Amino acid sequence: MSARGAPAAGTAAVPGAHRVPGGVRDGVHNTAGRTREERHKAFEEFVLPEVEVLLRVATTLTAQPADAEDLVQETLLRAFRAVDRFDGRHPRAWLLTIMRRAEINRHRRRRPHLLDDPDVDLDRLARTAPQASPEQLFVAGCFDENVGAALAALPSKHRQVVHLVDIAGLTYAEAAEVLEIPEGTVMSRLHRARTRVRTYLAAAGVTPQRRVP
Amino acid sequence: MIGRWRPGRPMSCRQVTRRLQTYLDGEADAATAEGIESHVEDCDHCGPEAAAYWEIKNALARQEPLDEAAMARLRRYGTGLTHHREDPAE
Repeated sequence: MSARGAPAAGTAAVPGAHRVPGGVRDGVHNTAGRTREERHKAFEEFVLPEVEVLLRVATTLTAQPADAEDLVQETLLRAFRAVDRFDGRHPRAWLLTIMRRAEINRHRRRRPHLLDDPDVDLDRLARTAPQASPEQLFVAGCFDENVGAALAALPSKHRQVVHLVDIAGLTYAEAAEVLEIPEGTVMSRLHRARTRVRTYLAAAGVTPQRRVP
Repeated sequence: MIGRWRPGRPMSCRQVTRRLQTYLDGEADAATAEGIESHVEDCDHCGPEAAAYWEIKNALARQEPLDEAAMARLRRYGTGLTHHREDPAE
């Protein structure tokens, strides 16, 4: 199986991950039996390297760049508070779960009735996504710009999985966790999205450069 | 399970088409990847298909440059959590 998304080589449970019943709580130790230094080391090792991915995913889940940054900040804080309970395996999946819960709570705080509509994120993404202008459609010789126009023209559910997998670099499993849909649905939406992009490009008279993967 | 194929046997174009996107995403197992690569090397239809979708995937990945200023702020925030004298969780 591909190594993408697998735990980093050499990753092991964080030292001191076991709980110490009745552990001493003083300026150095916490009640989980792990020192502050060990918690900080775990945070630096498992969380900080994922900030870029978190920002890309947050951009997919929120409407405004400022909201995305706020969401990542809240995710980092929650992760910092919970890192002593993290066993060191699958940090990205752990963080994405935290982020998903943080986003749900953000909605609950601001507009509670939106929780009745599970597609609210998708609807908002559809309303705020850039639309391809007529001028963008036939930009000769600029493949990336045409792909961008094709991406903007995708249905919101397809555009969302493209953002998570192709742009943010998540695995199918991670994207499925974020969107709370089956992995098979991620795959089918992604594959349909790329087919639509290809059809769009063909209609615009643009062909991909022929390079072997 | 999509299509019927046994590892070690040559793949047909149909079998490659069904698995191609998964392969390009790095989600195919080693045997499947090897089967696809072997087929794509010599197939005048599947070779260009694979190349075309590979370029589309790469172009999609380039669509959104990262907000470097936001990244810098978030990295400083994260690093700052570990530098507080008082633990924010306490």
